Amino acid sequence: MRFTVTLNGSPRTIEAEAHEGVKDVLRREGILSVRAGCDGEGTCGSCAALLDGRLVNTCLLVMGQVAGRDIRTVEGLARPLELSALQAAFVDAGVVQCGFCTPAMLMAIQELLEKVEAPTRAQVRDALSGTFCRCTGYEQVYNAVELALKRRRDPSYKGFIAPEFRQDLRHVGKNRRKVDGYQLARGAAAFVEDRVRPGHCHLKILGSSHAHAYIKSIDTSRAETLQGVVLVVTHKNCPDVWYNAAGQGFPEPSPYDRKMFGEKVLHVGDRVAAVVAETEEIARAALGLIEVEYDVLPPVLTIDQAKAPGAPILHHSKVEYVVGAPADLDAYNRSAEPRDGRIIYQFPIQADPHSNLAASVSGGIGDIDKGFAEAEVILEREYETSQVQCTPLEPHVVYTRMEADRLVIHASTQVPWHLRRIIGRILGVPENRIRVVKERVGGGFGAKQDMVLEEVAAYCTWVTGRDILFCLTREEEFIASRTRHVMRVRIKLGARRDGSLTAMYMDLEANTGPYGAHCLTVPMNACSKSLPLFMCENVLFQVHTYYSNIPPTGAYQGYGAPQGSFALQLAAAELSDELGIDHLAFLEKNRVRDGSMLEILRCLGEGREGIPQKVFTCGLGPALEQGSRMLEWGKRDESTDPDVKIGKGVVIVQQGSGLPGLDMANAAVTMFGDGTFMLLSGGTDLGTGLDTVVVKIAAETLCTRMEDVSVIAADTDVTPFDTGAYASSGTYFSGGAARNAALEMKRLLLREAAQMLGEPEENLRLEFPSRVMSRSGCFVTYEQIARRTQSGTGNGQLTASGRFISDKASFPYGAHFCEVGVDTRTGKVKLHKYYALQDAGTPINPELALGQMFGAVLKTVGHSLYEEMLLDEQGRCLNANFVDYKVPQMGELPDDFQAILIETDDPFGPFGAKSISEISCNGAAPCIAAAIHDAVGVWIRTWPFTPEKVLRALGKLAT
Amino acid sequence: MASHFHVPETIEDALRLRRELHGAASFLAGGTEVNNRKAKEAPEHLVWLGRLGLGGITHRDEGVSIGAMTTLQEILESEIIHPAIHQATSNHANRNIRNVATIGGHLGVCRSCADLIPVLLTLGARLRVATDSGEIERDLESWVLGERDGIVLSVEVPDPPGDLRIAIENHSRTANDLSLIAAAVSLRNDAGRVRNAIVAVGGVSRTVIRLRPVEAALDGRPLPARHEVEALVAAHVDPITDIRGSAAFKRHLAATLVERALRSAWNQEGCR
Ligand SMILES: Cc1cc2nc3c(=O)[nH]c(=O)nc-3n(C[C@@H](O)[C@@H](O)[C@H](O)COP(=O)(O)OP(=O)(O)OC[C@H]3O[C@@H](n4cnc5c(N)ncnc54)[C@H](O)[C@@H]3O)c2cc1C
Ligand code: FES
Ligand code: FES
Repeated sequence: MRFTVTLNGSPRTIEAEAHEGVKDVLRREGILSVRAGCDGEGTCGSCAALLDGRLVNTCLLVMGQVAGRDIRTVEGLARPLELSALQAAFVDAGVVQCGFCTPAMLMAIQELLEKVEAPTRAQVRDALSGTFCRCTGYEQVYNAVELALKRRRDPSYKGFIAPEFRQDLRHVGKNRRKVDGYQLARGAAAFVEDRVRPGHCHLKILGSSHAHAYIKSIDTSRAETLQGVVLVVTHKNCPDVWYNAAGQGFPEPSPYDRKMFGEKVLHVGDRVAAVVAETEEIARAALGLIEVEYDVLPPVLTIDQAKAPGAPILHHSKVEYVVGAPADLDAYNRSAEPRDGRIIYQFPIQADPHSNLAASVSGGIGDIDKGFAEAEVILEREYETSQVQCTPLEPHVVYTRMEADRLVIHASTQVPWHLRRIIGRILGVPENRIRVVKERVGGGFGAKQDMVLEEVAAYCTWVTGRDILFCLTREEEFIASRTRHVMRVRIKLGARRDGSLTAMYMDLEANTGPYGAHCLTVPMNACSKSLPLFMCENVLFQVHTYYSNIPPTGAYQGYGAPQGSFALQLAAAELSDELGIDHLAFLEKNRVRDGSMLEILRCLGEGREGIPQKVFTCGLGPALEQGSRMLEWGKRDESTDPDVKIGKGVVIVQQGSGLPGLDMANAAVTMFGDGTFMLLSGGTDLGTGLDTVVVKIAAETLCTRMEDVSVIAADTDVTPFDTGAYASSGTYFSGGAARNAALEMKRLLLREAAQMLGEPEENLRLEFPSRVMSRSGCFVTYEQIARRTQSGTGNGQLTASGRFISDKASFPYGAHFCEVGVDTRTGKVKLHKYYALQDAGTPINPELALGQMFGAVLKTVGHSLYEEMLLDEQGRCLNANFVDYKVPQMGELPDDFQAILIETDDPFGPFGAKSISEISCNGAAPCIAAAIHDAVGVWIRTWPFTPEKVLRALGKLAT
Repeated sequence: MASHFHVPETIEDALRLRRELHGAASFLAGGTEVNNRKAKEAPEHLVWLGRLGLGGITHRDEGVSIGAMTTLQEILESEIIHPAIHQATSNHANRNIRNVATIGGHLGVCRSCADLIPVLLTLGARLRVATDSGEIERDLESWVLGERDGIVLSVEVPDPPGDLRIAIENHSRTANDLSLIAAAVSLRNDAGRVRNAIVAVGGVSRTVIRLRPVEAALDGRPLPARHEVEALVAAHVDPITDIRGSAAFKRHLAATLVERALRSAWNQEGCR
């Protein structure tokens, strides 16, 4: 049928069926900005457009409903090479992070501004009420709207966006338009799904319907003969290679305990078969034709079930060690079950898979018994965290294709090089035959550190030669992607009456789910990013991680630290209460500070000996001081509603800045013929602003304009190696590499200028914009240098490279304060105030740093108050969608939400920078729990703190 | 996904199509439910009600008439709609959904926790419905509890008497969640006594229900103390345990919210 609509101002005739979904048709028509963040259930708003001037989810409409009507999308907001005032304001205010939701947000505000002259905050909130953004924490949208409004009258209006830092620097520490802002705010082709070419195939996975079972038989013959089916892969014909999908540096601390398809399935949704077909419909139909017979085993779902004697064993595998095999390995392997396959450890991680123990570690300093003997008060508590999903707005997606005899992988990944390495190994293909191109990533948050789907598509393309698109549905994202490890943490603290800690004991058990990706390191990080916040001489920790049949866990922003921090910080709050000491005073007394020596880190390396670290800069003092003033700490507030009680909370948090001794980043700078530069960075920008960080650092170092430095990043064919974006390493490592490459370029510039000017290098310096100045007052421009070096008699195009490694750990620190109102009759907890104060060293992109903080806080307000994956007794997830799994959105913002940057100058990071990306995830749960206690006198020791739990704690519900 | 899309131009055609296609056809209004990919069963034929002139809000006779195709956002923006309806509508999902979802569709789905139904019940709303045997008027409660047949043409909301007091309360996990419990009450304060109370609650039964025993127990006396009202309500709701909460929690919430709404209505000056 033919439809006429007005599309972005022009009449357009569209060939489509009346019952076809509008979103799909628009995308087919080249409108890429309508994106899918849910399974067409209307819950994410990513597909929004204006229909006759009103914001609608295009996935919920069919073509017949829109015939003859006016449709506007972000593509129509501005002419080529321009941004509308609103788009520009969004980029300037720092609310464009990954950009996946940006078109939808923009259209929401566009509708608002067309209707309302000067909208209130409530109207802004209402306009965005249906748009889910996982990255930004929304708060800066208010700023963006205000900027756009002011600029209506005064187009040159700058306004206040975020505080700026380092008066001595031109770009670093200043608010500058994000380098990918233009592309993302225009909704231009950017993400993996925007790269697909006509004629590509679709890959779909048949997921296991059982949590724990052997595949007794599988018959794919009917599926294979279906017209349009290209390939069916199962455990019978997949590569017989064992690997882990954790996306870590080699040699990995995670066990190689999986194949592409196993004979044993270990969670509901685990891979049983893959179908590659000409269309999505055919692929789905083929899945239905695969006949599987299962030998169903009882599922193991909890830590207690996993460690119980006689428990069903997930990996009764044959165990191998690359190094460090124990002497009795043969005896151990005698009972191995062949169908369970193998496990290869790169080095020992104290695992006992035949007892479901995936990894373990313990360590400590001082003498714990002596510490408790010295204590006058001892407190023992147990805390539990439930499983939560990262929910990046863009579900996992990959597009693979052959280019001649090389494999090209368009990936939405945090680890392009690890991906290439692991896939090369699985396919038996050398790395030079594989190219991984990291596209814009629509939210990673750790879930995209793991290789969740790439190797399957890569393999299928390699054997069929076909272009293949493989994307997870939202439901698959819940049950087969990655989630936060479930943990149970017992804390025992000893202190003197004056509040000084004498002993800290942390006994942590973690549930890693079916595979051991991150099974050692996430739980360890729960210790290593929480214990060193308190200066205590006697510390002991124990970690045990168990396999189970819950949906897979993995990395999630914070990487265990949110769980560890929840337990330890809340225990500290409980101890202060027990001691009758003000919680803030307790923190002040025991906290880490400038110059502290962190001996405990010696036993907290990632599977090997760690390095004790000295704390060079710690912003906790000013953070606590400023935060307590802002919140009026110590002042009791009363609500006007007698049913509502008000309470306050405080916690301190830390993270790292990459992994010293493990991470490595590289960058290269090339000079172009007119004196501009191309920066090749290995760094993987996930929407966090890393590409902007590296451009700023290079431009700053080279005394040039940011516009004169372009960046290509994270393309394994083009840019140098980088371990990837995890462990808060981006700014510190990838930024450090850009700094070093630019310093090398600077050296070359000085060398060339010295020759051209006939003056010694010592007399020369770089001067903004883009020239080398001598003391004598003579200068050469970069353009002149470029012309000369690239001439027939020149020294050759200037190219410089730099790497960054470090054995120093620059810890970012922070203090979080909040005020809650607890409705004692409904149990509902409302966030009145939330202040996150972070020491990030020198904030390179202040407005984007604030965005990271707002986003991290709101995400973790999620697991504190609302989010929780619910499983039935068979291990099936009951709420694998956004109707039933509730994420915080604009309506959940604290009434007063502030992110504050505390400046310190780190001696090691580029221009004094430390990380910002993960740390703000660690405060919300303990801070809110402490505030709930302050309000109503109950400690809630399992997250999320749902109304029902609060009421039960208050004794208001019959069991 | 449906495979046929029909655009009837008259009510008769719409009814005829539906009749002829039996169970294979579904009326389509905004489509938030019908076009939803999570819908349990997708109908083969869609009969779109968009060309029947069913939109618009008008004041007539002694009340307001809301056309079935009026979107919830239009209701929210209308100045002639009762403020309590505004309040209930603002609890419904979010802007994106309200811009499309219609009042007719809302009544068609008739969810257990439908946000507008409780308040419409307390206002004594009636429906104009086109059926195979002609146009009829039905009271809303009979539609909600009984056979839902035909095309809703409009919702007729009578102007409330000047001394009617209305209050609503709801609880949802997050702001754009479906209501877990939605409650609306209306009553008159007759010289210190409750009269004509209507208590409607969503989320405790398959559909929104009126708590008639509670209404009866309150009649003719001052509003009892909090705990008495709560116990009364708790005794007359029977919610189920599901992933959003246990029965005990929902019962507690229903009791709390109804009590709050009653207390708030009781303490109001008469409105409109
Ligand atoms: C993301 C999301 C969030 C939601 N949140 C809420 C919420 O917070 N609160 C809430 O109460 N509901 C909520 N809903 C349910 C919401 O879809 C309905 O309340 C909505 O009003 C349905 O209207 P519609 O026009 O889209 O209906 P449609 O999908 O077009 O139709 C729904 C049903 O009604 C029938 N129907 C439509 N019009 C008529 C008519 N005139 N006469 C007879 N039958 C008719 C249809 O045949 C169909 O069976 C939500 C839905 C979604 C997708
Ligand atoms: S894809 Fe349309 S709302 Fe999620
Ligand atoms: S910027 Fe909104 S989802 Fe990433």
